Amino acid sequence: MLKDYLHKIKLCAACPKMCRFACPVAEVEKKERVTPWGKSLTAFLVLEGKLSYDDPDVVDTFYSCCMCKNCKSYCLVDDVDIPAMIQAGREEIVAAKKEPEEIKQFLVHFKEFNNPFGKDLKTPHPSLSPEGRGGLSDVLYFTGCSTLLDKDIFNSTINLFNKTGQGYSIFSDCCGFPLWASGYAEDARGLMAKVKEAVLSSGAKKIITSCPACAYMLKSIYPAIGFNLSAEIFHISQFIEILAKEGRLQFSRKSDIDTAYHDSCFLGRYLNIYDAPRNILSELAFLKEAAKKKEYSICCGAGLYHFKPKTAKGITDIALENIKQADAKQMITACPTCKRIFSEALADEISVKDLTELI
Amino acid sequence: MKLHEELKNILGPDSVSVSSVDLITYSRDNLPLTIFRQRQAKAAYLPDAIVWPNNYDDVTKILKFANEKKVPIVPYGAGSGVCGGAVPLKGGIIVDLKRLDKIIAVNDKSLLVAAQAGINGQILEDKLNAKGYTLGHFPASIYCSTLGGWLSTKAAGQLSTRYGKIEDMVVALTAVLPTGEIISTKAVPRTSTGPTLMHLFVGAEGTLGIILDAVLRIWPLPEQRETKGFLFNDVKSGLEAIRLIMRKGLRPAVIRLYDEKDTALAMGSLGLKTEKGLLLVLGFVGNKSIVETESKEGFKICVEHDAKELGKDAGEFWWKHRYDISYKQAEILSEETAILDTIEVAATWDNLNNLYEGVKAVLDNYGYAMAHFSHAYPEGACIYFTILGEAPSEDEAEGFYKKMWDEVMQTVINDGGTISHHHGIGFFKGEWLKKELGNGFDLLKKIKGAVDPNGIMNPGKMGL
Ligand SMILES: Cc1cc2nc3c(=O)[nH]c(=O)nc-3n(C[C@H](O)[C@H](O)[C@H](O)COP(=O)(O)OP(=O)(O)OC[C@H]3O[C@@H](n4cnc5c(N)ncnc54)[C@H](O)[C@@H]3O)c2cc1C
Ligand code: SF4
Ligand code: SF4
Repeated sequence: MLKDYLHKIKLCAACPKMCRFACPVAEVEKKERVTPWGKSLTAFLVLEGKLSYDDPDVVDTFYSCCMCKNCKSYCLVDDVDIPAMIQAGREEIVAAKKEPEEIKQFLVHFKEFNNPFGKDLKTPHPSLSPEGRGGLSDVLYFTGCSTLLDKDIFNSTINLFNKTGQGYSIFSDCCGFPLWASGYAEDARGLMAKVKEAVLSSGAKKIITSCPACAYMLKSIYPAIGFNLSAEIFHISQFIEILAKEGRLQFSRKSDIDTAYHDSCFLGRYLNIYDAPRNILSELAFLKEAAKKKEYSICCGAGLYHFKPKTAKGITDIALENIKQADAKQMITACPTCKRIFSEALADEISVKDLTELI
Repeated sequence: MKLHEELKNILGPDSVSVSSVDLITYSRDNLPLTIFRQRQAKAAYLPDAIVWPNNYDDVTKILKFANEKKVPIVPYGAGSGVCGGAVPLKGGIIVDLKRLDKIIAVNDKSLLVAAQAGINGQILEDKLNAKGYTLGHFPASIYCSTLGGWLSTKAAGQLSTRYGKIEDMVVALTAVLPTGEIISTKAVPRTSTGPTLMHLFVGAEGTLGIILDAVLRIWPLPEQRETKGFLFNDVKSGLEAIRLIMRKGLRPAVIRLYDEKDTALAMGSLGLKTEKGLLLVLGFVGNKSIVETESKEGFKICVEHDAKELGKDAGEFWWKHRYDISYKQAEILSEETAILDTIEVAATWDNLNNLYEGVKAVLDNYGYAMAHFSHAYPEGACIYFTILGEAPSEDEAEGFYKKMWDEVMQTVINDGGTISHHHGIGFFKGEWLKKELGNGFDLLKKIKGAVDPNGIMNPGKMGL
């Protein structure tokens, strides 16, 4: 509940807005209320009964966050955590049925195929036919939905498993992140319960994801709501590092293409995984770093496209400006969503690939 | 037609708001008095509308409209000002300039950048750094302030002794008058063509017009940095070392002396471990051989004044944590009765210690008072006091706070200092500005009357 955050909200509302320049939403929209400070002040005044969720701009403020956590990288104030506070606010807004129309539509759209893309992702996927699922294994490749949308990432990951003799089974439902992040805690919970059952019955001991948001959900949010998956969670970049260390994977020839790496918010700021992708990448290409990297990396904007496309596009542009400063010929991500957003925005200007596609 | 409807007709719906949450988030700046009200869930000063102009034409249209209707205009950068300059004291329209945030041009040969007023300080610096330059302007609020705010408050950065204050950096600017005319001054190194019109807007706190863009000096990124910490025994010897360093013509980037309490509490809270004493941070940046020579000379002067050398680690500690103290405001000012403020005054060397002792004696009655000496000149220096106190009760906080300020301001005037070295006046120090300027204030008023006959520009600020 929002009131659980009251102390931190008060702290942040008294801050001189130190992290404001790092908040991509604030940098695009330029309104005080969408700065991290503005969000806290809004929350404070809601808790004090001076503002309410009846006001569409109050609601808009809670949804004007791409949950990128960049504010946290610049915050030195006693554990203030804006995305967590925003999440609590969104859940209250949904409970009061005051969420914006676009968010309601998003739920309807999601429920059609249980993914945010509004289409059946599984039927057209030949590798998901029962015979393509690999044998029974205690390693579960958890594709979630966004990896399923990107055949190149999916196929290169499967090839990697095959090449290294890694047995695997596949699970390809959405992890629940889009619902959870939109404030639909109950709907998310329902979906997550099914995921949990399926994962438990698969007997998986290790779960590997390509999508950092899936990894974060499985690692942090599932246990936080009491869903224990009894398995270790790995992002594929971590797993590749293990395969290489065990001598099961030799990297192909190193190319001399200048390559920029983009840290996804969830892989980086949420899961603290910065080195694994860089270690792998430096074996495969010539790594050139952007000015803002690691915990200061700029969000791709994905979290806002379904609600505020104009703002989201502005955020993507800021992130691209940063990446372009590295003056690289190709850009590598380790997140299917970042890859999708950047490839759409860049067209053929710079090629965008997932880490696994280089192997 | 209602104000916001008229504004929407002029600017389009995306650039205007009158929603409660927008109005409240523009009801204060960083003047602690306004934060006291916020922590009681009260809006300090509510505007009638907020507008976000997208281009210069939008600004002109808003000003012409407001001038005709005689509606107050409050220019707004990022609201980090600490004197109530950007608060809508008399309601009216907040003109948030942050959408004017482009770097217009970088001129390598002449070392100039032209940028729009609404650009955030750190973003400007980052973009310059990416091209191999620095502006050299590093206020502790660099993350949360704008170029237009810097110019309008006559701000000073932490490395001001090396790179100058904002008024030394600005070469030309463009501003809109309340009547809608745009004035652009020429970007030339210097000009002997009458009083410098540009300087009419530098430090004017939005009372004469709105700054749209400026041309500023930039520098190649420094090759080298040498910084050491020293521990002095008393204020006098620390100040004497600074005076001699400046007298010798050295140009340190950082030259700051923290008094004993500031060293213990402020630097201590950031994690610096030292014995009892006064920390002096002395640092040089720039060309390698110049830095080597200057730092040798500067460090020698400190040692000659019985300072204990703390070495490079203490120097680098300062660089690493140089903005960190600003975050402490959150913890302190969120407490119901807490008082926290900074008061930056300046005087010549012959008067500096006197001013320091005088103000400190006042502040000691109001809480834990500490100070550091920063922004040194051959002729004197700035004293930056921090006061950490507690009002008798939540409702008495404002009275307690105002009384403290009045006593301090009177002391500064009595002791021959200036009431503000770089924060400006806002509405809060307006009455004291009159005392500071004497009949100079009448001239300021006449200028204001001529430029802004309807008094729409930021009314109530700077005593105008
Ligand atoms: C934590 C912290 C640290 C600070 N450290 C320093 C420091 O080291 N050095 C220093 O000098 N100051 C410092 N300040 C004070 C403050 O940051 C400066 O005064 C800064 O210049 C204000 O910029 P802003 O963009 O936030 O302006 P605002 O607060 O929005 O506005 C300040 C004044 O300028 C006017 N204004 C703003 N933009 C324009 C424009 N384009 N045209 C005309 N008028 C305009 C406003 O009406 C107002 O009167 C600090 C403040 C904080 C909170
Ligand atoms: S998130 Fe932290 S740094 Fe940002 S405004 Fe809040 S308290 Fe300040
Ligand atoms: S999480 Fe990202 S978008 Fe949200 S307030 Fe923080 S910086 Fe802004």
